[in-house]
This record gives sequence, structure tokens and C-alpha cells, in this order.
Amino acid sequence: MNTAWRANPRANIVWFLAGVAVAVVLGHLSWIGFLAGGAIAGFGQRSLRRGVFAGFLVGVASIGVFIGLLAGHGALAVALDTGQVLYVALAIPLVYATLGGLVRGIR
Amino acid sequence: MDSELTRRGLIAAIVGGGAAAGAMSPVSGYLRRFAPLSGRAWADATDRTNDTVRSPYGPASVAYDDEYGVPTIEADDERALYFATGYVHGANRLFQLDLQRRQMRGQLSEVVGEATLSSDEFHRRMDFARAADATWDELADSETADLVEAYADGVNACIENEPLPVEFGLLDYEPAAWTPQDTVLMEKQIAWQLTGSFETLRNAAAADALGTETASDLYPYRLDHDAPILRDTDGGRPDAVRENSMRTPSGDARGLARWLSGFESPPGIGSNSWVVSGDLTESGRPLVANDPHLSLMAPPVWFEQVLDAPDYSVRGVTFPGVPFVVIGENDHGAWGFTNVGADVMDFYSYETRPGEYRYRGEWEAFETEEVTIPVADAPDETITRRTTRHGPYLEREGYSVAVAWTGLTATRTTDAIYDFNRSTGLSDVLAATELFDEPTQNLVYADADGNTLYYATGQIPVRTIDGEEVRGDQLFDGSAGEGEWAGFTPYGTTDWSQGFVPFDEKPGVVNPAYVGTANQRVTDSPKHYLAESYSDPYRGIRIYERLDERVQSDDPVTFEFAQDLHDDAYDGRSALADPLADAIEGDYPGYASALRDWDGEMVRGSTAALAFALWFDEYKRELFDPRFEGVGLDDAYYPRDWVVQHFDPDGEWFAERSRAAVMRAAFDAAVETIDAEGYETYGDYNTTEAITHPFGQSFLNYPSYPTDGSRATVNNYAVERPTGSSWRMVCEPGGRSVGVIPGGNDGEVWSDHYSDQLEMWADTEYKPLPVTPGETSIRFVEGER
Repeated sequence: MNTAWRANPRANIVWFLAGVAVAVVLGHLSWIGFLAGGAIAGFGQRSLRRGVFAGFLVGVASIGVFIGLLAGHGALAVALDTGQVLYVALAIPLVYATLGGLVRGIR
Repeated sequence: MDSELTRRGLIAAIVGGGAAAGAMSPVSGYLRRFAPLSGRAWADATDRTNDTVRSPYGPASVAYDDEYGVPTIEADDERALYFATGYVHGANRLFQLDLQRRQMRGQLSEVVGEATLSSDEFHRRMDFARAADATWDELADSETADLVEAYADGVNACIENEPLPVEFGLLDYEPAAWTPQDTVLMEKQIAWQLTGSFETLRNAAAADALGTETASDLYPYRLDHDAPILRDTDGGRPDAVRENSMRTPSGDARGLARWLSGFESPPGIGSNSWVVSGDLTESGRPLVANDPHLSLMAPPVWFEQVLDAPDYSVRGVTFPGVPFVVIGENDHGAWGFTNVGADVMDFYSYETRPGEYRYRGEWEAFETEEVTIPVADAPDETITRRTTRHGPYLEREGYSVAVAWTGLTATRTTDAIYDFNRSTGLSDVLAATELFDEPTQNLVYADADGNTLYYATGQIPVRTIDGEEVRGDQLFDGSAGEGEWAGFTPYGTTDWSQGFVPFDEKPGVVNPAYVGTANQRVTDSPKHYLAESYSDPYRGIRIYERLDERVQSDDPVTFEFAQDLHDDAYDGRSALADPLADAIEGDYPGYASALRDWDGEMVRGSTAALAFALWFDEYKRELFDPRFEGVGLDDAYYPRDWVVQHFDPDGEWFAERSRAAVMRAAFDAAVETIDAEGYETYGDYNTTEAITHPFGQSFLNYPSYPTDGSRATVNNYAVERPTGSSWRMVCEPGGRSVGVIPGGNDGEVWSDHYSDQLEMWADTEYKPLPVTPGETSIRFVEGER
């Protein structure tokens, strides 16, 4: 398999953005969306370390979208009060998108 | 190469294992519930109610007011109106609907786990669901039934169309479809809350434990005061009913009574209301004021709504799950309710042998059924439910009785409430009141024509032994057929014309000048036995003091006077403040001085009110715990505050320690609490923080605001339970009206209207009734769901 394209920074960004898009779209259906998004973002990176980091960033971006949605619906203040419920929620995309980024190490 | 393959395999295993763990392990439940964007717990946070909904009943519209989220629901067809009402209740209170239904059906453990198993067992043994089915069977062919069915369809359309509230996500389950029988079950629930009392059993158990004389002193049949609801009537009470018997031992019902005390009407359930004729008011219009005192929780027990039907318009509050306005007003009149406290429950013991009980010389088989209670995260529980001809058979610790309760049969209250909604005046209301089979309530009503009305609603049993009418505050010999209610058929259709007080023999008065009700004795001389006992009379006395004073003055009764009376925080128990001050003078001169200067007002800025409130509860503990603990009685057996206040200082309860010594010891405990909690004034202790959501999750609870009032004041708030004014309303038929609920109209925690009335309520302020509707939020269009 030719993997030279991974050296192209533009390709890295495109794969990362695709990962974010997949995470946000599929994330509305299931937590597996974060894993898939992280995997796609990671797959298009130069190294395993960068793949994992890209997956992590997909998780951060997913959280950003989630927080934005809460704020847009006026629900952010209550969400911040939920404590452990919110902490668990925020950990999920970080953990699963980062886990997805590990896919870079398979191929 | 091998190490590279191993590395890749290891990474694949980590990723695959993580995915598998998320899909299959216990972690999957957390992911399903809490994952951002898809998690059920967040579903309702990032979604708005649909603005267009298909209704099989035709067009309707819902417009919430911008300030408080109160819906105005409008339609040209009544079924379309109630479909929309069901949808709105689903959108604003769906979890509350399901929780109440589960409680009454004995299905809480299915989602909550073992913690609620005892509650489920009780509710299944009582079989309220079967009583609701019997009521629905009676109602099913009526016009009202069509509307209840449309309402249920509306709730179900909401369940299908809208995301579920956060509570369903936290508990990880989905609600079943709402049924018309569930709506009837809500009627049973509120009737049970208001009239389900095991007082007879408890008093009998107290007689076992303490002796008949002491029990009769602690739990008197009649509290000595001169402020009954109806002060000038004499119904000619029969001698047999007037007889004041002693509390009778039961053969030790303590175990059964202890178990049942968790499921009966909580202490503090009561209410205030008054109606004043237009002859006495400034505007010339009559006034109706009402504040029912129920359990306070988040969200509130009441839901405010405005219904614009083709030929009537009605506004006020209802219980979520009930389509019609229960307390409120229409264009013709206004009405409110307080609890009578009538005795509508009796207990029957039997001679038994396995599987059978003796009845009038014959052996009859118990109606027996094996009932399985599903329990989350634990094995199912199976119980054997037994029923006799008198009602469900309850057993605990070797003691057993059958229970007859008027709510366990088919009742017509749903029809009655609907008729109140569309009434056009006094005669309609009287006709509706006659159908109001449960619960027993003090109805106050006034209309735009200037009429006023007080009437006791609800079916009140007439018990007989050997043909003679007797009181219901005793355990009856069921085997001998004593104390039966003629015509009563549990879980079936009852002939109300037989063993129940006829409508025209119930307490009532048409066009009174003014009447004040606060759950006190209805009348000194009822024509029939009404109640085993009544609430403490503090509020009733105070309301009449204020009304009498105003009426006898040169100032007419005003709308503002009615509001001010709602805010009255004078506590009649404060008669003990001076003796208390004397008792603590040496140890606590500062508190003693504050108590002497105190005016008895339970207001947030008062130090004396703080000390007195905490002291009074400690005083009861100090008085009763030493003796009660030795005989297996708990705080459910504490006598009423009125009884405690009026103990003879030289009597039985102060034989070993003087009253001053008991008072001082109790005050030590109160001061310990004050110091430990850092309280300075009553408002530090008496806050809305006690009003919580059933989950106990802090983000679902209400904010903390200081407030006034106690369990003994007209401005009613028992922070220790918590119970209190669950809806305050002042109406001037034909004029203005106001109301407020303790919390917010929307039960969705994400909503701006989750707790937006709480501070107003804490400050006894009001909003207009009805509110001004905003833009249309939901438009219902013709079409199948």
C-alpha cells in the first residue's frame, strides 16, 4: 500500500476534517461516531503519534460542537450544574476518538 | 517483521477491545445515556418542541406566554383541544406523568430497583389500578371519556414525536403508552393523598402501647376551639354518632401501622380557602382565595393551563395527567378546594382459616392472586394478593385487616371536574358537586352573578352496627358484618344512594357572607359522623380572626386584603413563647429576650422564629421519645401540635420532669442545631432548598430562597417535610385574578420556566391569571399521527 500521500500536510488536514465531520454526524446516532471519526482522522496522518493526536482533536472538536449546541439552546448553564453527568459525557468523545486515532498504527 | 505485526495486532486489539467494551459491557449503558450528541440524557437539551404536529382530531394551537411558560390551548373542537392538552402535558411533564403512574401501579422497582419494593408491594396490594379500571369502565361511554381518550392520544403523540426528558435518560428506560385508565389513576392518586389515612389503625396501636386513657388524651376526637368552618349551623347530630368513645386497643397493630405509615397521606397535607360575598368587598364582586397544601417538589404537583374551548374558557391548575382544570376559574365563576379530612376508610378484622375468612356465619374464600413485581438489577418479587368482600387484605407481623376506601370503587369525579370547567353558574356547580365522589373536599365557589357557595364534596360512608349509625374511628368485626357500607362494591360499581351520606345532608351553605376553611372541624354538629379528627386549627382560627376583624371594621374586603391574608405568617403556637422564655432565661438570656419581644410572626428576618421553630420539634422529641421508644412507637405517633401546646403543665407528661425542664432540654438541642448549621435568622433555615426532585440529583433541585411561614401559619410552608402552599390563587369572578406555583410550569430542567416562579412564591407574590399568550408555539393540523 502506497502511503506517501500521508506526507502531504493538506491531506492530513483533509483527513482530520473528514474525521471531525464523521464524528459529529455519526455522533448524533451513537458514540461509535467518535471512534469512527477518530479513526478516519488518525488514518490520514503521518505517524501513529500524530494519528492519536488527531483523534484526540476530533474528540475536542466534538465536545466543542456539543457545548455549542447546549449554549445555542440555552441549556449550557444547567449542563454545567450536572457535575458527574457532564464529566462522563465529556470524557466519552475524548476517549473514543483518541482510541480511534490508534488505527493509524494498524496500517 | 514479526514485531511490526505484533505491534499492529496489539493496536487492533486495543481499538477492537475498546469498541467491544463500549458495545457490550456495562459501560454501554453509560455511553447510551451520556454520550454527547446521541446520549438520551441530553436528547431534550438540544431539541425544541415541534412547531407543527398532526392531530387526528383536527386543528388546535398552543401559545405559551413568554414570561412564565403557561400554555393557552385553543381549538374549535373539544377533542382537538384535549389532544393538544395531552401533547402539552407530555412536552412539559412527561417524566412526572410516568413516575406518578408507576407509583400507583406499583411499578417503580422495575426502573428504580429494590429501594421502592415496599412501595410497590403496598400499591399492588391495594390494587389502585383495578379501581381505576372499574372507574374507566363506568366512564367509558360518556362524553368525558371521548375527551380523556383524545388527551391520552395527545400524550402518546408527544412520546412518539419529541425527545424524552433527561430523567428517562438517567434511568435508561422509555415510557409505555399513556392510557385513559392512567388519567383515572391520577384521580385515585390525589384522592389517596388527601384521604388515605391509617389513623384508626395507628390510634388503636397507640392504645395497645400506651393504654386507652393516654391514647385518648394524645389523640382526641375533638380539638377544643371555636372556629369550625361553619359556625352557625346545627345539623342535629344523632346520639349514637355523638358518643365520644375511648381509643380502643387493636391486638397490636404496631407492625402493620408502621409499614403503612409510609404510604398514607403525609402530615401537613391540608389547605386554606375563603370565599367572601360581594356585599362585603370593595369592588362589589365576590372573592375566592385558595392555596392547597400538598407535597412540594420539583417540578410542582400542579400544572397551569388556559383552555379555550368552543363554548367555554377555563384557566387554572391541574394535575399532570388530568386534562381538565381542577382549581381555577372560567368566565362565569371561580372555585377552589381544601381537604375535609373526612373518614372514608374503614378496617375489618376476621376470624380466618387457611384460604378463607368467616363472614356472617359462613366461610368465604379470599380472592387470591399471585402478583409478580419486576425489580431492576435484582430478581423479581412475587406476592400473594388477597381481597375480601370489604376490600384488600393487608398483613404485617402477624396482624391483618381488610381495608375499605371509597376510592377503591368506580367514581365520577372526572365527570364532575369536567362539569366544573364548563359550568355557567351556581346550579351547574351544585350539580357537578353531587358527582364529585372523591376526594372529600371543602368546595368554595363564587360567580360573576354574585353567588357564593361552600359545600363538602365526596362520598362519606354511613356505618351501622345492628342498624344503628356508628363512628368510623374503630376497627370493625368483619366476620360479624359490622360497620359495612351498604351498596359499596370494591373494584366495581357502588350504589351511592345506600350506605353514604345523602348529598343534601352534607355540610354546605349557599350564598354565605363569608366562609374560611383550613381543614379544621367542619361544623360542631354534623348530621352524620364525618371525620375521626381534624387538622390543627391554627390556620382556621387565624383566617376567621382576620376575616371577622375586617368585616367588622369600616374597611371593605379588598383583593389586596386576600393577598395579604395569604401572606399571614402568625403562628398560634407562639403562645408557648413566654413560658419558653421563662424556662431558658438563665442559660440563654438573649434568646429569652427575643422570644418575649416576638410577635409570633414566622418571618425570614426573625431570630425568635428560628429558635421557636427548631425548639418546638425538639420539644416533641424530648416529651415523647423516652416513653415511645420503649413501646415501639416512632415519630408518626407524635400528637398534633395543638395537643402538645395545650398539655397541662402539671399533668401526666410533666410528672417526672417539670415543663420548664423539658423546655430547657429541648432548647439546648435546638441551639446545638442553630450553632452547627450557622443559622442566624429564620430565613437561613426556612428556605426553598428543601424542595427537591425525586432523584436527589442536585442539578434537578430548586434554588434556595428564604421564605416565611411554618406548618401552623396561613402562609404555609413546612420546610421539615416539605409541604405547603402548592398553588396560591385569588379570583374575583368578573374581575381580576392572580396565581403562583412553587417552582415553574415546565418540568424540563433545561427550560427557562423550570423554576421561574419560585422566588415570587417565596415572597408571596403573584402573576396574572390568565397570562397573556405569546406567539403560537405549536400548531396542530389535521392528519393521522
